[in-house]
Amino acid sequence: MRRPWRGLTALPVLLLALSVPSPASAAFGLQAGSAGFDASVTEQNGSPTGPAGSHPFVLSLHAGFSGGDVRHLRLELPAGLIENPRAVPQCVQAEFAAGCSEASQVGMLTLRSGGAGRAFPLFNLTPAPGRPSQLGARPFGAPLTLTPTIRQGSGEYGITLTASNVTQVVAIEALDLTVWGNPWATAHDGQRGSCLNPVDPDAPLGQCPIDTEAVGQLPRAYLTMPTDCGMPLRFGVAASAWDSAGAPTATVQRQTPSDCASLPFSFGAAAVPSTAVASSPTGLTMRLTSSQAGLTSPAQRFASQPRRAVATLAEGITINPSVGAGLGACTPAQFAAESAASAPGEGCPNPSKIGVGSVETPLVDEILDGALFIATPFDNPYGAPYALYFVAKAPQRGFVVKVAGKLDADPLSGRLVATFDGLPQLPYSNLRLEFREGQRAPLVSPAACGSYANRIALQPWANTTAPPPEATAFPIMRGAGGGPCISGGAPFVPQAAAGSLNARAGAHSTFYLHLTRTDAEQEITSYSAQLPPGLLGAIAGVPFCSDAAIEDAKRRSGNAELNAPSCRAASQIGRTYSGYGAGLAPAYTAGRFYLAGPYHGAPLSVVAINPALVGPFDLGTVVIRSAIQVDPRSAQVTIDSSASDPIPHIFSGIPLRLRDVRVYIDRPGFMVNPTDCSRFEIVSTLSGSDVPFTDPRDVLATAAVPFQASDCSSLGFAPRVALALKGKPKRGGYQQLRVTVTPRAGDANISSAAVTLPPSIFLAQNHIRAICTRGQSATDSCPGPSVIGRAEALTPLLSDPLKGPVYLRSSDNPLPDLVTVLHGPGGIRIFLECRIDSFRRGMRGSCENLPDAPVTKFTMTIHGGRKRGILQSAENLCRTPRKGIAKLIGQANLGQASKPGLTVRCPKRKSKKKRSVRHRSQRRPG
Amino acid sequence: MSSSKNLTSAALLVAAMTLTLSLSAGAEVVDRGNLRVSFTGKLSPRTLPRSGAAPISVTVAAKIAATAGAKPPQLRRMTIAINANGRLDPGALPRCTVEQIQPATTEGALEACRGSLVGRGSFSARVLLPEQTPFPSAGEVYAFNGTYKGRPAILAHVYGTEPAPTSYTLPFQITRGKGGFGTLLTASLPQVTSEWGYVTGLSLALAGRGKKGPYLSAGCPAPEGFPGAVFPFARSVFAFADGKALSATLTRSCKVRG
Repeated sequence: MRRPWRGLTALPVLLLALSVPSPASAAFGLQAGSAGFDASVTEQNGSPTGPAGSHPFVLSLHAGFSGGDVRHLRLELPAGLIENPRAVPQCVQAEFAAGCSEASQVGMLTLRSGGAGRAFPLFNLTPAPGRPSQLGARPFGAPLTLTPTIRQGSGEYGITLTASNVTQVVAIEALDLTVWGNPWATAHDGQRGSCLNPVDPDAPLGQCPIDTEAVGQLPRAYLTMPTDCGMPLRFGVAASAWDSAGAPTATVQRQTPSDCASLPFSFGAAAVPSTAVASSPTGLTMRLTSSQAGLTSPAQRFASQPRRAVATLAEGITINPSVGAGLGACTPAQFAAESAASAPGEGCPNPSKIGVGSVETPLVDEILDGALFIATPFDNPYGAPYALYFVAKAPQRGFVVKVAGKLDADPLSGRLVATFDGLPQLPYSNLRLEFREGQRAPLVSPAACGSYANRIALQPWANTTAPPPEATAFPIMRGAGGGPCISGGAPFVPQAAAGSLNARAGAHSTFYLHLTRTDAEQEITSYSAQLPPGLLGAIAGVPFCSDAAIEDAKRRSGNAELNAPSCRAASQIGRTYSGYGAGLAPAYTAGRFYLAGPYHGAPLSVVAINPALVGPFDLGTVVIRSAIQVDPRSAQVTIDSSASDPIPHIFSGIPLRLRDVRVYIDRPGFMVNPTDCSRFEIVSTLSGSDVPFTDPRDVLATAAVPFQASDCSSLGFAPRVALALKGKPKRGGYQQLRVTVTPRAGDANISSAAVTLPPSIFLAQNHIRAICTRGQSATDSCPGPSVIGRAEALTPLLSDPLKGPVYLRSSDNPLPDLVTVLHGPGGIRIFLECRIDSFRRGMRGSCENLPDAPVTKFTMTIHGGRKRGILQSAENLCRTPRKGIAKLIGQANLGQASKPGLTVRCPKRKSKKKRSVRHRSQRRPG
Repeated sequence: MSSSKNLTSAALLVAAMTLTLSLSAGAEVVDRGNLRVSFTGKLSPRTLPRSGAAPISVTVAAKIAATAGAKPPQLRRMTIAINANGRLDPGALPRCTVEQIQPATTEGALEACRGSLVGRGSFSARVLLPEQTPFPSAGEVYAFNGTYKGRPAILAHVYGTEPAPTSYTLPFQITRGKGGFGTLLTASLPQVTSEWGYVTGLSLALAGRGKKGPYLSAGCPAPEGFPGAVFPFARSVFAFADGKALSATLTRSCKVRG
């Protein structure tokens, strides 16, 4: 349906319209070949404009349609072809209806219908809010506007002119858009204003020069050729119709800009941290500045813009893990959703913002305010772990600049290289990026005082030889925390706190360890600790996290590990919290603490598995496995750094700056307090490493924390001792001796035990076949003949009993020592060394300094028999009941003495049937 | 003239006897290499009948040491030969067996074989265990008349409580000797000292009298007309693990009773 013609132009248009055939039912499309779509950028003589950055005479676009009445039209101009709306005056909307001044005319719009064409002046309009600029004509009195938008893809920065709801006053068969490169050129005088005869296009053109004096401006270039000589000019069209289906598109390519080599490239670049304090969170300001000369001068060429900026930050400026706390990330979709009109948070989420920025461009009269966002790791245009999005916009002008960059962090030093590729091929005089300051600034300043330099290298769009990088020197003038500069290496005095939450002797309690260091100190690279005697872990029933699972954890992403831990939950014995980063507000990550099996020769190990999730960064999984040694004499537990994994100081290029380590071993019933309330210490030994971290020389620091169990007086102590002989009870029989000690649950552990046999039990010296030397004992290679018995200890700490041989070993005492080597799971070995002497004419075995560990039952059996028995009865044991003497002292200094009777198997005299009776102690111990 | 000669001869003899007695009161010390063995003995009473025999007691003692602090070799066998004028009568007392007194405390041994008791003494040894400082071990010795492997023997029962209660019995087998030493007491030590023990001393005073007579008896082998005699009282032979064998002979004197 046609709308009625209005105004003076109604009649001729009507005539034109009547001559137009009725719309066909064929699909809407473009005419074939150049009649359908054509475009060119040419000089006045019609030759293609060559030099990059020059100002063409005219930009011509032609679109010819078939099968419908065009409704929407989109014309894509080549990437980098600049249309500067501020080069000529703008025609305000009110004037546009009545007639714009000739000074704002930038070209012509020619419509063809029914075989005839008619040209209309094309004006540079004052854009509506939210539009950067607008071109408009009023064919037959009806407004037809072309609104530019900037294509952002891949740094293309091409302008697309869009005409929406094109007037239906005439069935447009073809459209010619002519945009002047220098609108006030006298060559266009004949096509300007009243000289442009819309009624009779073939009439001779008049002369309608611009009175530049009246306007108050010199002639200024409106169009500028791209500065990229590596890509031909590419034009595109897309259209749709009011009355037909179909959305035809077409593209054409024209000349490739030339002569880039002579194109000037003059930019200033600087990158300056915001602090002069060492090892501190810091912001960073990056600035690119440029002269815009040549952009509007018709006779000059516009300088090339930087396509790529590579900022190599000074050694020592690294990513600050503290930035991760609460940090979000911007997805590609969110980045794509960033538009000139989008409100904060509608595109990239606010938590992903790590800085601000601005862009000053001569194309719009406002400064574009920008924000710097963290891109989703790996899901970004670079596929990089660390990437940035910069979005600058002028909402009122509908102008937005979006740039993606990446940060490459050296895996060994953490040195950063920021790369912004595909910078706008649009003119800008000042581009500023500011990484935020504050305690959670994304960067950290170098660790030592001195002079440093950041370097920025720029690559022009023109592909000309890049100038040498520009260095920005900056000083670090104060030490970490604002103190004086430190010479001769950073100090290393880490602090430690540790203990049981419930210090009651013998109680199960959560054990905590808290290590801290300041920014001024060296990095922690290893940790070892010696726990006090008796502070033990009950590993009974706790399965080891397998080596395979631990290896698997090392290969997993942090999120994968977080959501489905590699180790079984049953192996978990605690939690860790690690604070990373410089400044007062480190970022904390939570991890899990597992029990694991033998490691590097140690019988046990613990493994801290920390998903390295720093804000949006999934750096993988930090796995630190520490060997646990159990002292064979005191059962004292030691974290052995020499057999443990080093603490990484850098992970995925981010120096971790581990500041705060908190370990909570809180598995119920796992940790057991000593039953000795003496004052002990938890001694932590840490090694620190200074810059450069590759220096193998570490500094050691020791932090001792007092540890003392309490309430020992509430512990009881009533172990039972039983002595049993097995063998021929008559005199001369070689007796097997079985000593059984059964402590009472909840009592203090045994510190020393001495058991004296009756005087009638002799040492059969001549049955001592071999004595193990100390050297053999240390290497667990005692000769078989030195073994005289076996022992077994049941402890609630272990699932399986500790078992091992009893042998005679060289001693400083007259007689060899009675040494028991108890072997436990994972290679745990406990040595019990007992002295043999005589007491009240009886043979006595005395064991001092026994491990402060709970024992359910301890049994020692000394072999009997004619061949290997070393105990011989000097009387008929069945004749008179005999007693031994047992004296035990608890860890809490409680003592108990008893006289356990010797249990002997005696034949019943009056019966030939072999039976045995037992002489039992008249008084049971305890 | 002849009487003066006789007097002179008698005076010389007495002087010689006096000199001999004064010499023989000490120990016989024998050195070989770094090994020193001293052997001493005593006969009591010294006044004995010229013919026939009277009950006596005999004390013998030996010490084994190394000079300059060296470790002495291990004693393997010890033989004590007693002059043929002395008589040892195992049949005079009840006989005891090793099994009756080993192992046992002294009290236990006496309880079992008190009637066979023929002497007492002491025993010392050094115990050298690997990597350990040698320590002394000592005990009292009670000697019993007994049999060992079916033959007469003196069973020397040693009992000590330091450093640990233990006992062992050293059987001195009694055999007949040849020549001037009619009785041999021979003991092999390895089975009682094992490889760790090094005997350093043994003393034994033997006597005893049973219902059938004295366990030990002797006469004084003085020729007619002489009031006493000097005679080889005992001879000891010590055989060591390194192959060395040292012997010493004790000369003692007696007076003719009546």
